[in-house]
Amino acid sequence: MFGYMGKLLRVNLTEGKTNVENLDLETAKKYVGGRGLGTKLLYDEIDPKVDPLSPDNKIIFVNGPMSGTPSPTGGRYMVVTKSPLTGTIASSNSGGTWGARLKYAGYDAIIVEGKSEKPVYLAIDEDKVEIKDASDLWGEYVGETTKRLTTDKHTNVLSIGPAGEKLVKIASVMNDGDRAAGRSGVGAVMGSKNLKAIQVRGKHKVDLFDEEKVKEKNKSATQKLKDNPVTGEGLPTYGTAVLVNVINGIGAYPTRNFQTGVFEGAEETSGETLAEKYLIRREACHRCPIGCGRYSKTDRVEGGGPEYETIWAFSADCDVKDLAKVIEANHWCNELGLDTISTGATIAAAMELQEKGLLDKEDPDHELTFGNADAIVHWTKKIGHREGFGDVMAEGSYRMCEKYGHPELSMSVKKLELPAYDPRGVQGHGLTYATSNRGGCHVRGYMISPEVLGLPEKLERLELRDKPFWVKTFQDLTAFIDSTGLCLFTSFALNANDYAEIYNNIVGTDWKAEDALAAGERIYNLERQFNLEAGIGAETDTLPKRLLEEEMPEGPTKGHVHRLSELLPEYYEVRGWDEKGMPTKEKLASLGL
Amino acid sequence: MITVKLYAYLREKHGKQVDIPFEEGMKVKDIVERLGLPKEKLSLIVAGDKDGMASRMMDVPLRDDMLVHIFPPVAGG
Repeated sequence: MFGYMGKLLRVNLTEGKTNVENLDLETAKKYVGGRGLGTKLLYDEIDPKVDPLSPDNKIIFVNGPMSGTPSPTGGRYMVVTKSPLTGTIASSNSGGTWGARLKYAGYDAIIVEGKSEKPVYLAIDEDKVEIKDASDLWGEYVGETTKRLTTDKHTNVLSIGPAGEKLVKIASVMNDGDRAAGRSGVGAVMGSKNLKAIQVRGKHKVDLFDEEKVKEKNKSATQKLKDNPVTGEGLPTYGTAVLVNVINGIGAYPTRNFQTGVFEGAEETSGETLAEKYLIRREACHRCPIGCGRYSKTDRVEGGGPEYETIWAFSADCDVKDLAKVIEANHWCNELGLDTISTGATIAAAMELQEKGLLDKEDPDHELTFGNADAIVHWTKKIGHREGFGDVMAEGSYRMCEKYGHPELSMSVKKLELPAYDPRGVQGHGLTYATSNRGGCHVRGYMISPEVLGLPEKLERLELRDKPFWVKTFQDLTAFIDSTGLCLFTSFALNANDYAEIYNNIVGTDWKAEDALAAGERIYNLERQFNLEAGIGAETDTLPKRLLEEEMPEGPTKGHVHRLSELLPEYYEVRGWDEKGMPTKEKLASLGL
Repeated sequence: MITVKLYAYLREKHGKQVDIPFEEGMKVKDIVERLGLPKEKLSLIVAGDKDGMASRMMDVPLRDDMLVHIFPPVAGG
């Protein structure tokens, strides 16, 4: 078997049993791996209506065929489960080395089911798999947990922090200390099963279909990544935060909970300032020639990050201009195991509730006003520990705003907090937010590439023409890339033909670019099907009222709203769905679903 | 006066900001040429309330007191 290890590890925490099963190769190839294979397994094994935090939900850690191979960036994995935040399918992607290590231990995926009575961790050393007591790790931060379970250089650790243990609905799963499967509250699902960590040790190799061709293609793909100014220069030097000034420059940088798109403090909190003042070194995930990761230090904390989205959530969205405090808030998100986007965005929404006088006076025990730098650190800790008003915020911005009678102040889609691009200034990108299967997300069809950065070609960001077609194509290609085990950032330099070739060399298929896109479309439709069966349909394919009705008040996007109603019918048509957003029988049949 | 803000590695030569005296009839390309910026290494340009890829922005006319942002090819996410 090439690319795949051929084995799935099933762990039943209720019974305390583990079992190794064979991977069905036909299914694996049909759904590629990672996000696709994880979706197929989850769809087949759980009732989509299940309570996400009940023992009946399952959580799947799944690799792609390129994970653990020499392919550039081949080390990513997916966490697939039903989200406690959104109720939709959750598939949360992460880098680092843990995913590749799982392959080296001999497994394509781990399926965790049931619930342990007491806190446990899973210890995998190739064929030896044990469920061990984690009483003395429960309550520990991610850094300490990782340190204690990393026994040698062939071992990698994935864990939750206190936030996941306390079922915070915006909790992340962390691996290798500071890499995050951040979104959709996947950490809370681990916590609900009393599963603190997964320690993986292994030294196997992944068999490749054509080693020579893999080597040749690696060389040319790596060269493309190095020659491309984005992946060869911009991302390595400044990290993802190089975008702060770009998105602020076009007036689409959400500020004060999306009340405007221009942030006065962009320069002080930019990637350039980060590089100048706080950057200690670059960091790279497994087999990555780009190295966009940051390691930063202030006089109070040091560690991995912050990323563009994190900087935005804690600075512009909360109107905070102090980058050192943002780095501190990021540090606590890593230690507590919190999604930085949802945490910052929930604090921002709480600040707007406070600004509008909508909170009960006795609720927050600490200043909760826009611009207060101490507040972002204070409330991050309170959310992670579910303390005081942090307990309300731990439910995410939607449930918090709903509690106070104003759900429209939650800047979220399907209850997942929106990331750092205001849809009023990037119309296609807004359509991806509205139709993403996991809710308000920027990495399910990154339309910023064509609409702002001109990659692979420039589309006018405020125009609507052809956007539904582009969104569908980006969504399908992304679903394929997410399933391979490669990093989405490679798509700044590589195209669908490159991915098909890399896949063929490793797995032994004879795919063209259109086959890769068709696999992506199949995965996208299966995710949609899961959501529909979970009771989440087209009525949730929308954006917060503010973005549809309130004109951007200033800057280069001034006067614009998001024109979703003009885009959505065409999008459904391009997707082969009916006017109610349901995939037609013909469409599903044509995709082999 | 035109205020030109430069970003990422475009700062290595000129710093963060350059002020250029405004002249009647000035276009974006006049600024790019005066600063000796490599056209092939430019990506997004924002001039006042207009923005677009550098190649399409060169003939955009400038007004006095305008703010111009010039970016090299960068991305993130």
